[in-house]
Amino acid sequence: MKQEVKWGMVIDLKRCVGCFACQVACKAEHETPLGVWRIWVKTIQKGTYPEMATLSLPWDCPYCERPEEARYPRMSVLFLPWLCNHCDRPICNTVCPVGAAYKREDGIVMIDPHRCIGCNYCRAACPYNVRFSNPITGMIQKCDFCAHRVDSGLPPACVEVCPTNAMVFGNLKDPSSKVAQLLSKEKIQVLKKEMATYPNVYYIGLDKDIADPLKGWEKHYYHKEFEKL
Amino acid sequence: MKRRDFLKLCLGSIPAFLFQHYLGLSAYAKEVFGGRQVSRHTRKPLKGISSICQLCPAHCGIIGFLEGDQLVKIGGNPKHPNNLGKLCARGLAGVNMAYDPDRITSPLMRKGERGKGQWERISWDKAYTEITSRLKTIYQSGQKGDFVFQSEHEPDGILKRFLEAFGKALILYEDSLNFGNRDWGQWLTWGEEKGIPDVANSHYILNFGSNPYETHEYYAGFIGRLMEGRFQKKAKLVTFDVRLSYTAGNSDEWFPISPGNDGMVALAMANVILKSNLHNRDFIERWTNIPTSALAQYLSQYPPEMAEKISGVAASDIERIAKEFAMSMPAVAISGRGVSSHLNGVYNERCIFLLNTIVGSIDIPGGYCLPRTYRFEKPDSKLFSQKEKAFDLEKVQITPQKFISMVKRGKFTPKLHFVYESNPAYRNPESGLTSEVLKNEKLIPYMVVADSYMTETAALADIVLPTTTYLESWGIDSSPALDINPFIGLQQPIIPPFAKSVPISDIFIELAHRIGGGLPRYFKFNSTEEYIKKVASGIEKLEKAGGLKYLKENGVWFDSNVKPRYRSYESKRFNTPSGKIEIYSERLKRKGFQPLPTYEPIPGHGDLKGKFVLVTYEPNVMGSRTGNFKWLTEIKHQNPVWINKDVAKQLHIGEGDRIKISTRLGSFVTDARFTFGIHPRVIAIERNLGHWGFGHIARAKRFKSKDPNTNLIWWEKEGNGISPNPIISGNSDPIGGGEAWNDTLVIISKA
Amino acid sequence: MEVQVLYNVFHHEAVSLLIAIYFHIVGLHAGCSIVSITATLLGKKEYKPVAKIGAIFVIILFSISPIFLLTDLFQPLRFWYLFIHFNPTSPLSWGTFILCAYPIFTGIYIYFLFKGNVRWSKIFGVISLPTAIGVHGYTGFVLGFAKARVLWNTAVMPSYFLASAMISGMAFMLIVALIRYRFTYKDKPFEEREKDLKIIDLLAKWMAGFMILNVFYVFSDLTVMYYHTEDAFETVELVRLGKFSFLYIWVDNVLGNIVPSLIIIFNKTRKSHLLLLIAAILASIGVFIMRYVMVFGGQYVPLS
Repeated sequence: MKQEVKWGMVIDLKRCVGCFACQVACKAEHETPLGVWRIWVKTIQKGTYPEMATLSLPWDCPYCERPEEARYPRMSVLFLPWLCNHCDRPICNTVCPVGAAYKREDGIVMIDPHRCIGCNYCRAACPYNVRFSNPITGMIQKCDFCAHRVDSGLPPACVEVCPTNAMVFGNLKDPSSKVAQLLSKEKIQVLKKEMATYPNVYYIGLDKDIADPLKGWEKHYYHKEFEKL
Repeated sequence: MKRRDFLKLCLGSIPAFLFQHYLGLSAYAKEVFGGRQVSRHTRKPLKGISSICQLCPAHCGIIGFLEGDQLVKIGGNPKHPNNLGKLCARGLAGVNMAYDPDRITSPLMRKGERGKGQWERISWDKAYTEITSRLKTIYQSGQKGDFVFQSEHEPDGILKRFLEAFGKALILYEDSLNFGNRDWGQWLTWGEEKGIPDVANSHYILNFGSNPYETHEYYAGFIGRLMEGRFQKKAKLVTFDVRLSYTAGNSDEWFPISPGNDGMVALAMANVILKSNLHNRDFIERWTNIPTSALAQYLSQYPPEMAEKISGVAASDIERIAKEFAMSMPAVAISGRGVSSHLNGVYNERCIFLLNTIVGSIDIPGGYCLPRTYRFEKPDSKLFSQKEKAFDLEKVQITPQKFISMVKRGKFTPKLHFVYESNPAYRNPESGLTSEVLKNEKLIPYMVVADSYMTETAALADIVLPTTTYLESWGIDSSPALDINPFIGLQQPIIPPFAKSVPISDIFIELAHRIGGGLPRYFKFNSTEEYIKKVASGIEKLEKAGGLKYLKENGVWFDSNVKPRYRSYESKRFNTPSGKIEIYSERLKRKGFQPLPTYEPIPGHGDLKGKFVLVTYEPNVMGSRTGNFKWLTEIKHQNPVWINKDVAKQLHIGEGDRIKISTRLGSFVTDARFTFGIHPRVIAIERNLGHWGFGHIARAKRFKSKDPNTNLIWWEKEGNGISPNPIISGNSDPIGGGEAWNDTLVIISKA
Repeated sequence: MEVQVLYNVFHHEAVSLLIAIYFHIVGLHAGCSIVSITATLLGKKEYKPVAKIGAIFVIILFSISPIFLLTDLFQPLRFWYLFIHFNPTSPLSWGTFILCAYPIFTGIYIYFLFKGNVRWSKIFGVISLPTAIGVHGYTGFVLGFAKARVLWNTAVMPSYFLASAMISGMAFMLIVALIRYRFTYKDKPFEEREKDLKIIDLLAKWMAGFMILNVFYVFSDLTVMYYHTEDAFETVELVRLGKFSFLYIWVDNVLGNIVPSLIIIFNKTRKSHLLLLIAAILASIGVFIMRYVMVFGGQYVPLS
């Protein structure tokens, strides 16, 4: 019996160390020019620490004056590899005026480079902002799960090099595949669920602050109003 | 794309059905994949040549994939037991080096004044003649130190052979600035310069000033194993670091310790462990040279309360962590630049090592293991007199930085300074002085730089020789095995030499023959390849497996029949005078240093009087040789200074202000990043940025070349960061000679 | 809670200034032709000059508009792919065919208009009216379907775009009519002058009507966004308080809509041609600013 194939990816963010190997491997695999990315590792730092009420920090031991239970900052650094989600309901395909964007039977969302007219509409419509226009060739491009590799039985370039095996790629429809196992076992989250795009890139341990494009953005209005209160 | 092509695509995905099990398994741990590559254009498999990455000390196994004769991609070598087919961003970006338009294309000779940047292209023959005439004089009638050779790493292979045969060379290497303290601290304690933390099997990882999430000596392989330890073995990771590094930010606990005081915390922990009777008495009695009772008594002078006052880490935390560490065996304490790059680096290193020793976590699964490597026999070894590494203070002290200040003071008058792939004018602390000395023809009469890029140092040379990169040359390597089964890796040319560049080993073979005298008899082989074949033939089992041919095909060889055996010291003992771990070092005592692991405060750090401690750190994608890599500079081209938010408020420095950082050597103005993720008395800045030479990309300058990307450097306006080296005072640990990168006292103000 | 972004990448805007200008010009000629056709269909003789002026500008503006559209394409030589591939879910694809039908029908309509053939000009006016509405209406759907951007992805967007197209078209014709009156009224008999004045008055009143509609759209759009998702909240704050607040609130809505409509509503001010001219110019500027803010304000909030 022919096994149905639907490619998907699970990224275990607990294991991600923010090494940028996926990002550079992707640049190498696709010769992506400078200034555009098919995958990138968003990195944030977050945490809490009450600012000192008095401004006199003792020079010898600045932390010593604080109560022991709140002595040190509680902070963390988080990473989020961001790539095309190969949605089940890809808005990019819907809006392409010439039908250059299409979804393969195995679930990979692709762009036909011979048909794309470079109107940028798909770029404007994609809620994940993963599409870009290649400044050298003038083509609209994005992550294609390394379709040429996958077709030859190789995992995508980013998955292959991930030093901590944080990225797992496989057939979502095969119950014995690692991705399917992770999906059923782990607490899974996707990006921008409210966009009704039904993504096929899943994250384990996704934090709301890193998934939120507006957090840490210099002009975060809610934050500013909050400060006033 | 036409419909036909689309159909082809769909048909093309049929093999994927066949391989889907393989992909389905592509999961955790040691399930290895990689080593294959298909062309993006033709979808045909690409030819791969395996080699060894030389961009950092990890020496991962790589495979260079060729489309036609062009190197298109570098991947990890799945057969390599350390990196298991994985690779980091630096290694992957190595392709940038292969055809970089900024590389030197032909030998150059200075025209006009030194450092003016006017060059004349010369032939290799002329370059050799120029250098040979000078070396010949030194070889015949010079004295030791007339020929100074400097490289980034300790020279090995043909370089070492030449220098030993030449006899009168003073050898400098940059690594002594960075790793000198660690190397000597460990060497004096257990007879090895570095160990292998077996983190994959640990249950508790105590990290002092190391940052494996961003950089590590065995980066790609180590971080994968660390994750195994953390998520399969549920190991706890506790980090002591002055700043919130990626590691600190992902640790279970992070303690912002004050700089240079890690040793004190480790001593207090050791004290707690011994007091609470959680130590491994048998191990201490049998394998160290100090009785438990004497050690306990000695350590009792370091109570946690004292450590709290000095380091800022609460006594209760020290006590708790110490007990957790000793009770969740196997546990391992690891150390990094944050510990060793201090004036008290050697002492600190010995204190951390003490923690591993007292719980007996030495060379056990999940402990701190002895490095397992193969030792290469020199071909025709009877030509050389065997010399063991001796603890020689004079020798230790000469780092590239010490050398420069000695030359400046007239204590040293080299005749020829040969620099290979090293960049003292940029990398040295107090780099302004280095440039000044190197520019002065009276102090350095003749300088030769062999490098693939026009580095800041090469710009000051009299002759610049274009050398090949690691992608175009031969080498053989046996790095410490992370799975404690030693292996041998082969570095072989993936592509032919760029333009007129020549491998450094070939340059020295040629020089040896031209100098003549007694030298040519050391080089009775026609090529580096032949030399490596001879070296490889020295390993019996490898020879049986196929020798160099096997290595060329697989890139790496190890004896797969051998099961890893821990506790190798039980048969071999430790490589120290006593054969045991020398907690008490007679050798240190003889030289007038503290024999026991001790804490020594850093002068000036006790009362900072409004000053701050400047620490430098290595960013995760930017190494010493990667400055001109477009894909890496794109990620990392700015290095704002980290400053504590509370402190910034105190100094009335607000969001968007630039700050001025000054020492007695000078000052610079740069952008600041305000965060609570740094100790309030510390400011931190990344190294390896802010080049003023090296290449266009390193300087963030757009230019037109064959590669259209060089015209797309979008961060031209953002700039290329700043190098803190000019204002870092060249102080070093008196024992190890390593630079105190993390001890510079600075004054900060709003610019 | 301190959240700092340590690394993220920068994305260029997908929709460029060229498109903002294109939207404006399309709005302008669509507005002109709708006015022109309506004038013809109403069949009153006095509207005829208006219809003719409108028609001339439709031809001029329409012939320059594709330049912006084509230069924005990364593969401009492949523009004809648009005609051979139709994607029913893409408003750009609809637009392509409307843009083809529009000049044909409108061209015929203009031909008969200038020939003085009332009947056929009316028939083709009826046929080309939907294409004239569609030629601008589709741009509203183009933005409305881009679900990534919350400022665009609203149901009000197509009508909002149409209303503003009407304003720009009428403002443009009003300016022309005022200038024409200023230079020709001396030679005209009294009744002719009265007719011209009546047309000017009518145009102004209609424009004010669309302005009020426009302000209503803005009001409902922005207020609903306050009750929407986080993205929407941040975006609406951005146009209310942030980088685009001056342009959008003050230049577009206050100066471009409210002030001109007030000028027109009050009889006294409406009678002053200078004030009317100012109102029309303000309205034109306002509409252009609206296109600009829609395009760039929409893309200002980061998505990753």
